[in-house]
Amino acid sequence: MFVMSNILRSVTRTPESRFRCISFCRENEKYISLLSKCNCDIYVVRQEGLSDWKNSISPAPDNVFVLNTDLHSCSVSYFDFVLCHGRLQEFDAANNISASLHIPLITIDHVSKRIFQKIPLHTSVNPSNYLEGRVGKVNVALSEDIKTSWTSATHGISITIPTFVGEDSFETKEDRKGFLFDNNVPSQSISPMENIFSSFNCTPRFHQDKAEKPGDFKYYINTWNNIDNKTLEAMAASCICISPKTPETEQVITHGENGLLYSGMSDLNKIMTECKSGKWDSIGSNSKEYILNNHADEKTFIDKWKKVFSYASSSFFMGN
Amino acid sequence: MNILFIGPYRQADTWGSISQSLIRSISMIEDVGLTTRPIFLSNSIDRNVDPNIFQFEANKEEKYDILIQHTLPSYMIYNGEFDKVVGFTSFETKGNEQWDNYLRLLDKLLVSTEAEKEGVSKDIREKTFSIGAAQEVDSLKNNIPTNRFAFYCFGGGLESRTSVKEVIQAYFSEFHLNDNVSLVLQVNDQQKAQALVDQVAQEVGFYSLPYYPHIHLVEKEDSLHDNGNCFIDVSSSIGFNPETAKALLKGNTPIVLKGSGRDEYVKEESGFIVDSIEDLLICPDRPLKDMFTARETCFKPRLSALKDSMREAFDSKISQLRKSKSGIDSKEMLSYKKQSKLIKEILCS
Repeated sequence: MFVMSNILRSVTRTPESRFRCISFCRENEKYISLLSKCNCDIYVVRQEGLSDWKNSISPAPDNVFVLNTDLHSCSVSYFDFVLCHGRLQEFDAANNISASLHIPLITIDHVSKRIFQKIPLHTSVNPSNYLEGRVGKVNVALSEDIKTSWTSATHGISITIPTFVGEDSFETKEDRKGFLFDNNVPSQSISPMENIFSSFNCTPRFHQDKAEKPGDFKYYINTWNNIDNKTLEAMAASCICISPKTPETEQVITHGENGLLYSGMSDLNKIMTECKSGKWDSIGSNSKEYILNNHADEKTFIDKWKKVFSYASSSFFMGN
Repeated sequence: MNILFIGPYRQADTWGSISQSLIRSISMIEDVGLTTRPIFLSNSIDRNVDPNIFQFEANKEEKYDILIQHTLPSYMIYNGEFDKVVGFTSFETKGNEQWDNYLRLLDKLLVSTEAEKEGVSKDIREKTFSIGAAQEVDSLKNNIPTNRFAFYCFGGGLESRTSVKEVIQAYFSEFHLNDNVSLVLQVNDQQKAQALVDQVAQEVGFYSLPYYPHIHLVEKEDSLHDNGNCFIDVSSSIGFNPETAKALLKGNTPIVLKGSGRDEYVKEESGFIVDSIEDLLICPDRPLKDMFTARETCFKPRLSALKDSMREAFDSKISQLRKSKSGIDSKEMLSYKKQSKLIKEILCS
């Protein structure tokens, strides 16, 4: 039933229409929540091997529908696009949906071709082994560097749309606790750090039913290979962010200026000790300023995404 | 009149071929603004689509008067934004009541043959119209083989409904090694086809050794219409088959089943109509779960009638020539102009 409705919809919709997108979650709760501000409703589907929506990370906005059943069981008559947040992990499933429902695929590159999430920390893979032909009709990258890295594997339209951090993330407390770390990562990524976290009495950011506010902490440990929305939020809250040193994180953090980068566990241990001694106390305000200058433009984010949807809606249908 | 046509015209199979043909006929109707959009029912993609179709794909109107959906009934929908919602489909069997439920929503239903119209429930028949078929061939055949009389048929993946097994059975039971005849089978998998040939040879019981009449297995179907003498299409699928129409227009005197719908354009004057038996459909290869079940019926060839027709085609040279000429003269019956006129009358009524 969806196929014919979706084809009809591709003919009758206008660039001003409100669009319906299918997406997977896979630890992208925050980004999907931001995207839901862009004239679209998002239907989050389950896929084996990909994690479900976690309300503790970000409660689903009213126009984000986390489906417990398959697409055919939800009371929706058509869809416009399928969104793929990871060319390595999600592409096959997203591409299958795109083909079977006859709707265009939009890829969103959160990371460069060099590094992938879900790969154990500090491990890079040879992208050319996996990524040939994994392209959408429109490919959105979160930064120019990410966009450039994907050029050889991108035959569709590419655009850079930097993500943004909401106003409430800039709130900071006077009396702040010690280390907060992002525990929303695969367990194999975090296990090498467990001893260090324990010795510095670090607090995990996410609990079963609630999340700690970065603004309540002085230091934030990013456990991903890239700078995701959660880390940007911590930077906005003037946290001193400690991230692994990767080509990805180096695009955002300059060591000792607006954050700290570590190479390996002993380096992490050393940097955290320095933090405790107060060596880096002055750089928290720099990270906030960096976010204010680079990731606080909600209007541009929304306008650019609306343009992407509008362009894709008027230019593409299955087969062209 | 603005028409939005959705169909599998980008596919490189029979569905695609019929869809392209239908687009051509619709585009010939005067004062029609045609917009097309593809639907993909299979993975076989046609890389050589008529360039005109891309023009129709580029169109987009504010408002459409008619929606034509060429697809399986289970994909069809009703949409109130159109003055008329029309379905065009192919029924390979009779009595799929599950599908009838989808068709009840439509304003009109188009099919290629009267046989298909007979296949739907009575209440739907009133709004069902046979629009015939349109087919052209590039040229008359020019490579007529002089050594052997060649029967040929398309076996594809040897699905049971192609009735290839029945063709081999009739051929083996009628002809001998010494007959100057050949059966050319187009198949996707030669090894699988050879196993079927060996199985039939054993089952008919004439051949203790593999010395049976000449059989030639080929994978490509490109030149078969140019090299064969007599096309056999006794598949249990009801409805129009573009290959049968091509064979007819090439003068290859098709052998078709009575009641299959192919007998509406292949006549006794231009081919052979073989007696058929209407029976329950037992089809192990089922593309969709509500398709090809034993609640449906289909036509199967009466083997003795099939072998008699093959013998007549082989023996009666003068009759064969007359039939061949009559087939070549069927151009008007299968013209786009004729089909276009008929579609216009139905859409405007």
